[in-house]
Amino acid sequence: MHAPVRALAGATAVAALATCVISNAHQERPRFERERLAPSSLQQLREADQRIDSLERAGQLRVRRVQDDTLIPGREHERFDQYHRGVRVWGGDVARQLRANGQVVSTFGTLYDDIDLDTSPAGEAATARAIVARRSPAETAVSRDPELVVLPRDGRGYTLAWRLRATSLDALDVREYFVDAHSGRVVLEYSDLQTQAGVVGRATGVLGDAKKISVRSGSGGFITNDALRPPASLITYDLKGDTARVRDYLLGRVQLGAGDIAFDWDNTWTDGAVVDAHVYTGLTYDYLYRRFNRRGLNDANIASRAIVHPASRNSSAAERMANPLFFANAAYFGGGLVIYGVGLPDNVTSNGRSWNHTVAAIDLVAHELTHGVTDYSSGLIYQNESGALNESFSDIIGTAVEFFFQEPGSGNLRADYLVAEDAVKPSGIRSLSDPGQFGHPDHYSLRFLGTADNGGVHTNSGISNHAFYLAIEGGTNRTSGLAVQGVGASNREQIERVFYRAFTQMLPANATFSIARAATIQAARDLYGTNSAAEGAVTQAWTAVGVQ
Amino acid sequence: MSGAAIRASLATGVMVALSAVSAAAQQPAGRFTLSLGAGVQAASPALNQRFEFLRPVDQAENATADVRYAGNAALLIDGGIARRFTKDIGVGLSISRYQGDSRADVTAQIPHPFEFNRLRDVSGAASGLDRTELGYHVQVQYSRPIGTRLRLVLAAGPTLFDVTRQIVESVDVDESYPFDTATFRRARRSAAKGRAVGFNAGVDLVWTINRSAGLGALLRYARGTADLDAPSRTVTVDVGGVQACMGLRLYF
Repeated sequence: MHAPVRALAGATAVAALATCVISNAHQERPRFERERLAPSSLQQLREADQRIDSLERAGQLRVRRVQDDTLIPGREHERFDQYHRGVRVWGGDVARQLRANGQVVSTFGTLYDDIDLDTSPAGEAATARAIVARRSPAETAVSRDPELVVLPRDGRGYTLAWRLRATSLDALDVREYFVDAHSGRVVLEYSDLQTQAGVVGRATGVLGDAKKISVRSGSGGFITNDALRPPASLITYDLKGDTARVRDYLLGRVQLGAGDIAFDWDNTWTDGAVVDAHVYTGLTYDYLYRRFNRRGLNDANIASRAIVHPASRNSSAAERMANPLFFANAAYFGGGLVIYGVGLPDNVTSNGRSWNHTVAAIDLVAHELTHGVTDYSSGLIYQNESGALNESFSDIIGTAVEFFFQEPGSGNLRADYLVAEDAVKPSGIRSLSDPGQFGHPDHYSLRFLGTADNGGVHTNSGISNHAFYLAIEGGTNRTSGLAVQGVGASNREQIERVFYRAFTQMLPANATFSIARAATIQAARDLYGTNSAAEGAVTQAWTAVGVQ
Repeated sequence: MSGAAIRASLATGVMVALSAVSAAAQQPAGRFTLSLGAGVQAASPALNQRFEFLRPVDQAENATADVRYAGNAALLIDGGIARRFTKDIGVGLSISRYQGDSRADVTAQIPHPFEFNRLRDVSGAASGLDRTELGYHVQVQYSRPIGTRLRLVLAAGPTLFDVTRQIVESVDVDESYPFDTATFRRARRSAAKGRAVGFNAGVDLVWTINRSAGLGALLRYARGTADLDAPSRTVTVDVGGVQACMGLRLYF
């Protein structure tokens, strides 16, 4: 079997859509390629829309979600999942933007053609669970309800597979497994743990800046449960270095209770990790609301929970090795939960860098929370190009949050294009302005093609990161030598809105850099008009980083 | 009537009265004089105050309020007793009670709950701010007849003021996420109390009905500065002012 991939990337200007009438019933069905470079023509858009309607009527596309556009009143965004004989096709989805009158503005997606597959599994879901459990370390929680999916095999046809998610605390990993529903063989697995790339550094203590913290008064004191922001709960838990309890919680053995919430008697908070986690989580919520009118990670005010002090910083080297995520890292575990590492002891560095509490960096906190935004919007699959885009979007929003709340400059508590520079010394862990500073690609031709790091999700993110930077600040890409006329720092919100719109409302889960280019250009047109400065900057930026 | 006008009238009255003294005046029946009267205490100068307060919702940063209290004229009740030791000289004690209410214009800068130094301006008013001043006026009196029916009494001495006054303590606002703006809801008030020692000086022009009674017109200026203790702070205010009242004088 062969699995031809159709990457939908159809879009057109609103004005053109409203005024042009093109009908050609005999034209060949639009052929969309994954690596498509430019937005489609009006005709292609119309034909793609007709195809979507046809597939929906046939039950091959089902609406997963319809959301109002939070930036352009009257518009809404539909998300469809592709189905084959009632079974979801993994990575097959379409995002369609509609005007109030129902006219289609843009369509992006990935559809798989010519699926010829029996959807009756030979094995039971329980069998698949057992298979995954056997492959996993001892302390692993495996999905109770595996999902039967059609798994495209990148040129090797399709496989009916059970999809399972396994949380392993021994390995400190969350992995997606796909078990062949006939043979019982694991045909695909990858880590879905959305983390900062781990580097080891030296801790110098939490930054001592004064800030306000929104808490809740309780019996005899105050707890870090934000009562002023709309989410039902925005809570910071202080696990006081009890790694075993954190592990038990992640495995579902225990629940965190009121006693785990950070507490202070007099509302004068001195634990920097607690303060930064709680405050920066709140500020990230504020940024999403103020900039995009988004209400939390899922746009419906889902609870947001942070865990700090998951370990003691001065734990033994063996302990750090066993639980690296709890030290020089931070991780989004899904469902609005983020765990922030405590940093490393003073005498320990990693690659010449020291690590403070990871929550000391507002961009890092926003980065992790943005994984939640992605989870609840595009669902960018955490491997290869879509995984790099997933990471990149987190870096982009992390940086945007930093610029929103801090003055531009260098040094602590100043906004720049470094990632996590307030926690990791020197220079943080990535750079949007100069990805090469960390050995990351600033051009598509330099992308990492190996399998490590889920296909280089923390590496190839540099490509779109740099495009975002260039679209704002302008400049010349070192590799291509192409210059970009950015919109300027004073107009950065334009590019932030463009990327947000594209990444949350237009990109399909299996998006490529090319689709991201098309989607961001479309978003720029939606928001600022055809031939706007934003559209020009975004287009030039993607071209400069080699994405067509 | 403004304070300045009253003070001018008072001076004029004293001058006229003193120039019209007559030896044929009717003498009161006894050494004691009981006086009762009612009138008005003139508007006091407006009071401006700037103070900081901590909102219950934000214990990290003070809000600031500027309050301008209007000085309204209000009812004054006055009564007293005096004793003559000689034909012209005596001592007396008068008690005046001023009670009114006033309005205050309030502007405030309310900090944003999530960020330092991000203030939101609100403005509004507080009305019905009760104000009560009891004045205990100890006086040395000098009295002289003016013609056959009029009698002039000059008096001066210290005054003890006992003051209770409602002041604006803090400002409540209506606000909601994302707290970019706030609107004035109300001014919270509290009673501030205090005492002060000041002075008084005045003239009482009495129309003698007979040897036992007369009708008096009192013009007095009493003044002091009081530190009033409110729950959250101490407020320094000027008390007293120009008092004008008419009433009965009984001699026994």
